[in-house]
Amino acid sequence: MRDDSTSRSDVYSRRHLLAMAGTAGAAALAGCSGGGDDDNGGDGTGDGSQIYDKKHISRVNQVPTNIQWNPSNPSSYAQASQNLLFDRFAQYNLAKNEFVPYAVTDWSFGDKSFTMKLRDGLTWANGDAVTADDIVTQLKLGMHTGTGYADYTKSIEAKDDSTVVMHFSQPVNKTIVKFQVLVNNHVQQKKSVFGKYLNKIEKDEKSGLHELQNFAWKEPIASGPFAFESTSQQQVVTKRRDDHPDSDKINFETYSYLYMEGNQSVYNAMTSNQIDSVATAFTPPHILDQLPKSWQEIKFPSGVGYGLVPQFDHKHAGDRAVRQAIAYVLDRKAIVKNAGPASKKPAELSVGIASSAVDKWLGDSRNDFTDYGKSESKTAKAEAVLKDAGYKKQGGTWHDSDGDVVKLPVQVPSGWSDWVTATQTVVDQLNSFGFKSSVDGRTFGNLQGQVWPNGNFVLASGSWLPGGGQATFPYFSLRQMMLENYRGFTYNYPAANENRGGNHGTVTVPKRGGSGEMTVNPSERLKAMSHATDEAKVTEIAVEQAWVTNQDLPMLPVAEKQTQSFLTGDVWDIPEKGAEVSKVRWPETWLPRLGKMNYASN
Amino acid sequence: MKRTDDSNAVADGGSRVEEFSFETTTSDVEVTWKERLGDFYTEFVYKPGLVAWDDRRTRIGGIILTVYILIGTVGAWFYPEPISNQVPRNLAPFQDWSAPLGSTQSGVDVLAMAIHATPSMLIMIATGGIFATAIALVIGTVAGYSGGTVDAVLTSFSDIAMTIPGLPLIMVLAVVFRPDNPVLIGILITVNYWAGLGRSIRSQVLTLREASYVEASRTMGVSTPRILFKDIIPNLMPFVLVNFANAARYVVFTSVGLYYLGILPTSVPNWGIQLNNAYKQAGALVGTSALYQLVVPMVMIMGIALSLILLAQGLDRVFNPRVRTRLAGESSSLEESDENTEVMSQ
Repeated sequence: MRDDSTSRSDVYSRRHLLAMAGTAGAAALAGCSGGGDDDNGGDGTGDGSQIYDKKHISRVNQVPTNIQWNPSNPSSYAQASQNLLFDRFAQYNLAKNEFVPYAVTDWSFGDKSFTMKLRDGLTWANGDAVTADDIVTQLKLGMHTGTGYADYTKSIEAKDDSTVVMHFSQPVNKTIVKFQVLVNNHVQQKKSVFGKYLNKIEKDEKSGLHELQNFAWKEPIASGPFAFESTSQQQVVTKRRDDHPDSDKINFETYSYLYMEGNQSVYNAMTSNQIDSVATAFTPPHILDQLPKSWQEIKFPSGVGYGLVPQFDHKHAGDRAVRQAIAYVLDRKAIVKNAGPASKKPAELSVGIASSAVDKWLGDSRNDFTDYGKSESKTAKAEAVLKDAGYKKQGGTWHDSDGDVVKLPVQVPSGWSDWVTATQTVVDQLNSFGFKSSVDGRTFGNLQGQVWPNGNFVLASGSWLPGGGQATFPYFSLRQMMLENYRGFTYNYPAANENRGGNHGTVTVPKRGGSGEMTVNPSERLKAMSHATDEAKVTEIAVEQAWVTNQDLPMLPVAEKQTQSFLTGDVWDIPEKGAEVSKVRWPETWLPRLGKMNYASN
Repeated sequence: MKRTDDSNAVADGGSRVEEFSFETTTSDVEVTWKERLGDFYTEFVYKPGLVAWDDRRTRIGGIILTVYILIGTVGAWFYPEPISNQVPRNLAPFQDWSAPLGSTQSGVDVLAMAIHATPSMLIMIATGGIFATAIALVIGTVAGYSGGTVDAVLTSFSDIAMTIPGLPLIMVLAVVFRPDNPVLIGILITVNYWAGLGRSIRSQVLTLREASYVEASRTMGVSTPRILFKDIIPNLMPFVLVNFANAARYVVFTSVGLYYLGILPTSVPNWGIQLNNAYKQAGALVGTSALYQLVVPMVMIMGIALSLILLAQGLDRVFNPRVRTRLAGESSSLEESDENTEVMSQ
């Protein structure tokens, strides 16, 4: 018996056995008749018709049982698996800077309209066809929750089963539409599930929105090539679908997301080959050197940046003088050097415009902007600002006019090692200046699930840039800073959207390059920016709103980073290193759809 | 005070107690303050010191602890506080004298972190140890000696404290109160550690109260507090001190653990925070390049734990009357008899 089993294992490797099981499985699958007559499994001819009973394991940083997939509910919204379960309308390639059609195969602009054509053969995992009605439902919900395109969209209609038309009140900047509608949307909010919320909202907006934003969708119906199977404390499991248009490009059965809280556990899992891909994990050079050679690092500009989100309801963080003092005190260059100079850069200027775009958009007017100091702590300036606002330094610590100590704890997801390092440096710099600051590290799941949506923070670590290819276009970064941060902070900025605690109010700041004050409404002005079709008008508003962010500091920019994404080539066929096709958000869920991340059968 | 008690007491048969008093204070010989201080020094400093010094374990433990106290006082006074960018980043140990044990990726001196964690750790250890042993001693002796309802109430109280799971309780309290004062943290950590110790002290007292000399004191009408302080507690001291050292060790490990897990607020420097940073920020467990950031706080924790263990073991001897008199040179016969016994047993 023993001898027999030994000899068998000599002859058949594990991979062969898997392949044979896969062949049997494939033969049983009605949708894959191509593999049925090719019974000679195991030799791995790679004809693309075999389905291997193989699991691809990726990483998620939330406790899987808490995850929910309703994008209108910021609390515990999925951070990785939604990209696999749902098809993006279109992808944006960061190497080529171009839009790649996906669930929407064709789009066109009218004078005041935008028409999208849905891909043929798209279905939901329960078998229903994806119709234009589903898309209309989703886009209309977005209008009510204050998603970007709500600024300029008048109405949305389904022209036929697979054509959606958006009507605008005025001509709109095309780039804005493409990013906001095509790249930022997945085919996700199915009418049969979300239609009732839309009905309620149309009857009673407030209570309907409340219900929608509290609805936790725990058993999603997928539209992507993998369908939701189950969640446990440890992982989210998804299974390959047969009836997705790209199903025939995928040769493995299961795709799962394993829960790993911190970067450290990701490093360990990568070193021991326990996982097959990681969407994003900050990995310093000395860790990269330790990884097995099969791992491939994919670097691309993330359009995300470390910054501080102040709570405007807080006595001190809500005070402009304190925010300006913080901006003066922070030495952004030192922070970046500590937190990973290989993958990060300090923010050029404290404004809501990405560093690489500052010169292009601000031009000569840049000199008018307050330079809070990129690579130095301007403590004298900070002291002056605080003293003007009635703060006093007693015994080395700053007190407000009521005699209360200025306490500024900084929250950070405890597993994001580079952000924690940055936060520690921020805290040290604030303490040296005489604020009472401390690091408040908690799990990302806890912060994103409960703490941030409830606004329980003084300063929170968050991204001041909107992520992806849109980050260099000021409309998006200004919107991210002032109106709606994608991470769901309730930060109570008066100008912000209601779901972030604001009321689209006005902001008063000193006049740029002169005396006196100016009062503007950022929400109105950004709306105007989306309608502006000539460059001069766009620039004018960009400079004006950048000035508002520079003076009022709705967020404090610190750094910008490059994303480090990881794939392993040990048993997976992946594109060669540096391939342009991989430079998208995110490679590990995009490449399988193209048939470029498959189980290596030979 | 004692005299008043005695003079008011009436012995059997109606005679005054004074006639039978064994009190030394009734002696006509005048004892000066100087002599009393001298006696006190001999009894409580010289003899225990001699015994302690004679034992290698106490000697080593004591030296290590003294070093920690020096680090925590003088060292923390002179050595600069840890703060980011005080020295160049990512220095390896023993390369640059600005950071002898290396620096982190934020340019924080690893040695400064280790040194500045010491004062609050010592305070934590002391308060935690004193709090736990004091409560245990009071509750244990009173319960054991008084008996009856007092015993029942105190024992049930410690039983309840004992049945509450310690670590989860501490975690909940730490999250609710977010203590940043080392004294409070020390007390918090031992919030129910005393219960088990109190129980065992009570059992010891139950045996001791039946001892003949205690019975003699009782017969003579000596007051209960006096019996507790003169007859019972001194006999418990070895046990209590050994347990003090163990409680202190418990405080070290628990506080480091809680800091490592990020449950206690990170406002005070601590070896646990240092371990957490080494693991999470520097990736000290992947490869060996950042291992020193893990080793330094570990050595600090091991050192203080070792000194406490050695002291606990050595102190046992200090309270052993036989060892004590022999070493103080008051009885050479005992030593001989020891040898005789050995010879005989051979």
